[in-house]
Amino acid sequence: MIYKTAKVIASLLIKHNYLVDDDRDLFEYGFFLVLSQLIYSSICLILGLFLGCILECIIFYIAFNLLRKYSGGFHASTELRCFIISTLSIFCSVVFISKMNFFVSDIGFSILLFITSMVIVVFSPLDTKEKPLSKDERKKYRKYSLIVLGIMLIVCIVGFCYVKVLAYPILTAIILESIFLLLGKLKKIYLINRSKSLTTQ
Amino acid sequence: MSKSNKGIKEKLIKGIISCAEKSLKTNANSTTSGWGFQPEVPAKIKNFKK
Repeated sequence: MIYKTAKVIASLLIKHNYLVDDDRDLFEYGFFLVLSQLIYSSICLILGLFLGCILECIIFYIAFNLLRKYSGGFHASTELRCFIISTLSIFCSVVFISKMNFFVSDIGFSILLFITSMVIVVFSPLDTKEKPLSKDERKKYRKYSLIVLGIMLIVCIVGFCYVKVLAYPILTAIILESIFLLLGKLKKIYLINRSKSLTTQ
Repeated sequence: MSKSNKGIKEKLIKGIISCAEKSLKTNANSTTSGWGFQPEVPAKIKNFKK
């Protein structure tokens, strides 16, 4: 749906000579990226508005995007599946942020933060077959993702002591990214095993 | 279409194209597309790499 809309926009701009036909693929992808950000940020903001935690939602969205940018992780195989999974994960994250005060103790917060950060440290960066990384890129993005994670951990820990409005959304972003990294790793292992079994048959 | 409307339309279109270019630049220098689906990446995105 989003990609189809991006294709329509690119075609219209080519038709009216704002873009050249040689750049069609590039701008279809570019418009797809813009539309995706617009849609998912709107979903996050609307949910935040309904649940009364709009500031936390903005912090969560920025933190998650920063982590995801360099760490990568799971992507579903179709656009519809990805839309459903992304919307559901945003919904669960926003509900988690709004209710975290009631069911996450100090110890629970520390344990969650430690385990999920370790997952990111171990598995980051995780690429996809659609956008594979070279050895140099892997090294560079690992360094960047660890820097981002380190800054987030400091803000999260300081925030937990003084400004909870900062700590909860950042913890949620770290948890969600670690889940996507684990799912992405499992998917990669499954795909490798499947291709191995297909070649041996 | 009046001249001022045409000017606004031109600016809007240029803004949309510039937005797409910025997204391409960000995407070229990151691991993934972020939320949602990851389609096949066009080869020309290499031009946006730092």
